[in-house]
Amino acid sequence: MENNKKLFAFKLAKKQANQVKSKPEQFKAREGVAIAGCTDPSGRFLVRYSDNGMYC
Amino acid sequence: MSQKRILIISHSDDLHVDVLTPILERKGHIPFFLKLDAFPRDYEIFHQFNDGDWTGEIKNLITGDSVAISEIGAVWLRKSAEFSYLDEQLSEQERAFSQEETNHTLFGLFYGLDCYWINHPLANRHASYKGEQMKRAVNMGFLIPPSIITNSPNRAKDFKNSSTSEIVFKTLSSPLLGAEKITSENREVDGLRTTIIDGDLSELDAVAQLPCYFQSYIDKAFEVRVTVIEDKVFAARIDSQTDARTRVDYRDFSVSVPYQAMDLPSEVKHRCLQFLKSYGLVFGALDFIVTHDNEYIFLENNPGGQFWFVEQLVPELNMMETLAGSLIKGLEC
Repeated sequence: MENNKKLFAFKLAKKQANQVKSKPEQFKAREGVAIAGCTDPSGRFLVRYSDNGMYC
Repeated sequence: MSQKRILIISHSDDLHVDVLTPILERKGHIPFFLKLDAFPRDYEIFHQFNDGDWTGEIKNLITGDSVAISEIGAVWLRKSAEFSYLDEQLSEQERAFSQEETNHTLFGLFYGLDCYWINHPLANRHASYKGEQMKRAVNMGFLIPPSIITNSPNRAKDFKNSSTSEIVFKTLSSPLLGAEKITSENREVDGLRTTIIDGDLSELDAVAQLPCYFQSYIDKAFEVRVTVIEDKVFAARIDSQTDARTRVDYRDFSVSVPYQAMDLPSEVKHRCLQFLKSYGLVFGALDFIVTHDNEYIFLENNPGGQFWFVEQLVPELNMMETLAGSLIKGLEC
């Protein structure tokens, strides 16, 4: 866990982000949902549709 | 009498609005789009009371389009957004005050509208709290996973120790962890999907900072996303267990797990409809786990949930057309 973050959710998210960094992979949306509307503010999905309904 | 119009309330980057609008236009209805992220900056608004009459108008200063409140016959309330003001350099206190005044301006108007809603904001608000959702779901006969919301590290540890399976962490509000409310340069983390808690128990000490939501992890055969629009129920089977990346949380759209239309067991379908009706909701997107014993486990209802990604993958679930039809029909109410 990331000890510099105070909240449990943030520690968990940081831990996950570090795991992803250790095996970097270009995000590519699956075919057919290129603009699915479930996106995130990181911009890994699509900038135009970075709506806050990200996780549905 | 002028033709009634559909008011869409969301933010500028809402794909669902971009998809629905041409469908409505093809059917002869040009909606008025209130972009909350550009409000009040790019709009002029008034509503006033004179001799008992309530009149008002919202005008988009960029497009010139306007709608009188008496013209609004149906509203699609989609998503919220942070407001924008003419001066981007408002002080912190000015911004805090502006936020409250803008909320009162809009919701004072919205609540006064006597028209068809998908969904009414009061129904949305009532339906948005996961703790209450779980209680209601149980009362209505749904099965749910053992769950706890607590800021007690000891209770969280006891929950983990006593769970017959692994436990998962979920957010109660937004999985974006507040990222959507701050500027990109200040973002510390992007968000967090449902996550299995597999670390040392001492990590749960951080729960003391803020109440956290944990559930026992239920082993799944597959998942089901149910979208309800009025009395129509659209169910998509999601075979999330076919790929390790979607096994805990299916919402990884880089992974091509199969989606297909399915018929819900009649009692599950009935309960979904009754669940939404109990809140006064017209629309809802519900998530279920289906176990290897074919038990349907209720996870949550999203009153403003996304559904276009489902329709893209399962086009026969024609939810956008259905939604457009409901809004147009609502104009007659």
